[in-house]
Amino acid sequence: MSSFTALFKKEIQLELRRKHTLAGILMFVLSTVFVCYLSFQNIESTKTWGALLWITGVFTAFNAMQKAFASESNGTQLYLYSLTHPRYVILSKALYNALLVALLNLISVFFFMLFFGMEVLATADIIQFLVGLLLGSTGLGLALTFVAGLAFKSGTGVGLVAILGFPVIIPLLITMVRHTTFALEGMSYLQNSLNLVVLFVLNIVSLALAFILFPYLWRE
Amino acid sequence: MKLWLKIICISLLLYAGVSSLYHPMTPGGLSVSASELHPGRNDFTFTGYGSHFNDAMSSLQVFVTSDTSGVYCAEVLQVVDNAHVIVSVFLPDTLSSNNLGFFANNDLDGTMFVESPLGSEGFTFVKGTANDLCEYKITNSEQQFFGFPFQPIIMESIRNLMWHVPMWFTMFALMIFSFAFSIRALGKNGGAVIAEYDLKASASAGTGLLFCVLGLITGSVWARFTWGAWWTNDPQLNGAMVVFMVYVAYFILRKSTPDEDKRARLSAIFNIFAFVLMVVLLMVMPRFTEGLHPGKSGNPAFSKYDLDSSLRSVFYPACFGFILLGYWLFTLNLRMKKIEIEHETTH
Amino acid sequence: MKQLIKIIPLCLFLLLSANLFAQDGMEEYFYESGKIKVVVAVVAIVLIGLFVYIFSLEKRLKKIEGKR
Repeated sequence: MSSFTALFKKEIQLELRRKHTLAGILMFVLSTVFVCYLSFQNIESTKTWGALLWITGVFTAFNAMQKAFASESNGTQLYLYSLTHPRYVILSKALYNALLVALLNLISVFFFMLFFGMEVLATADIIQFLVGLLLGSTGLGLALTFVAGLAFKSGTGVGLVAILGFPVIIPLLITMVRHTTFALEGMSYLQNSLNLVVLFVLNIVSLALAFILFPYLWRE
Repeated sequence: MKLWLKIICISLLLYAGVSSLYHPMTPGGLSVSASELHPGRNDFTFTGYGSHFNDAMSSLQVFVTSDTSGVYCAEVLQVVDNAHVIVSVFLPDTLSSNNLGFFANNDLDGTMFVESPLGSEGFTFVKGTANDLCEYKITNSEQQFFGFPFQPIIMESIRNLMWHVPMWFTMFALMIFSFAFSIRALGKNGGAVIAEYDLKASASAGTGLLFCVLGLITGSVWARFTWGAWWTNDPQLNGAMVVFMVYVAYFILRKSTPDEDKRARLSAIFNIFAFVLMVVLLMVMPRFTEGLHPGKSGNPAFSKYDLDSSLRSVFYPACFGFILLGYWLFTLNLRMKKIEIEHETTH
Repeated sequence: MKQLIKIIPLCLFLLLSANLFAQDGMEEYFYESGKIKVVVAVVAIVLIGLFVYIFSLEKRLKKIEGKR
């Protein structure tokens, strides 16, 4: 357990040290929202709002994952990992990335509210929307971390994450877009709860698969 | 593959192929010519499909029902030919509801039924209005005439059941093989054994992908002439497209990893991921959502009401035959890959 | 590169001809005779697909036998 927390802390420290990667992703979010603002000026329908939010969210996640395993080619990292079980490696990386994507998506929601105002959200059930957003983002982070690991190990470069990752996240994408649209329109908890349950289950399935399969990936 | 398996495969496919094309359809009601009904006398033409109005003229009976309570016999004015009959029905002022059904019955064809959304003017609707004056007979057509069931929009294309659905069953079977080989590839510690299982996984996934493509194309063609569009927003269709994309991604991953040991491990891992995803997309998600594709509300394949016994007698052999064919193509693919590798290393 | 150049006009023609499918002529051809022709089309697709696959296997085999 202590090695897990140590690895987790290491991830955070590395990210804080190299702030430019995080800043790059935030710039991406800001510029995307700004371009949307320039084209739309004013969003009337909640569906458009939800769609734009998830377009930004998915590509932010992909962006963040490109750098996920970038630091691994350094020799010292491998020495660190030889001290711990690879399960802790993937657990720490996956959870870190899940939280990172969730945070980035919250920030993008904030930017959206800043530029487009809160009128569109008048009918929305905010708590439900935020819960769905968080579950969807963590799901993206978990699934894409694993795919990024695969892509890193194959050694061909960054394009592979998108090719492998996109089909993998589609069930997640379908469910979370549906949930967000309904939550923004103000559907009650009960009617929408099935979507939440599916999101949660997909999260667990992604984490379980990554947990089981990663040691095979990491064998050197 | 053993010769007797090949013979079984060929004979099953021949039987399914011939039977699916030549097995007769049960006669059914196609349409009625009236666009609306009103109280009093109504004349219209009842069109049947595969019916024998002329041949069984003596036992012909046409009647109109309103819900299940009101039955109104129609008088046969003229039997034009085997498929068309002009009738006249007298309807009172009050009917049970707007839920009208048109029936035709004769000894050769059993009961044919048309449910037509007609306008009805001048009626008052009182639920439960009954009419006892008409003596009518409803027989189960399937008992008299062992043909494929007739559905108004699908009509003859129900024969596609033997050609489109087995594609998916075969793909599923081959992907299960691929999944099993991938798991074995991860388990063993010997290099040659891993390569062997990895090759088998890749060969079965390739053949499965072929059947996936065939299933998608045949499904799209069938959908165009049944539902009117080449593609609809249905969870099973979207799921099938995603499964296709996932396995293509599997092959892209294999192509982009030059090192053999790494390739074996990575593709085995991705195959496991892809298989779980396929099960989620094709078996789990459709149960939770609505769509046009048949067999929802609990079972994404078929509920026992969907599959008639006459269909089953051809469908199960067809499925089994196509699965055997899929396995046969997999063995051919595997042998080809082995020869190609052998050839590459010696030249 | 050459193959890419060959594919682009094909794609353009396919896209252009796609709106022809909206015409009634094609629908009538398939709808008459109770849509049996839809079944024929599906069977043809399945058989053609399988034969294309078998021919590709034969071509790969021939390439190797030729090199020996």
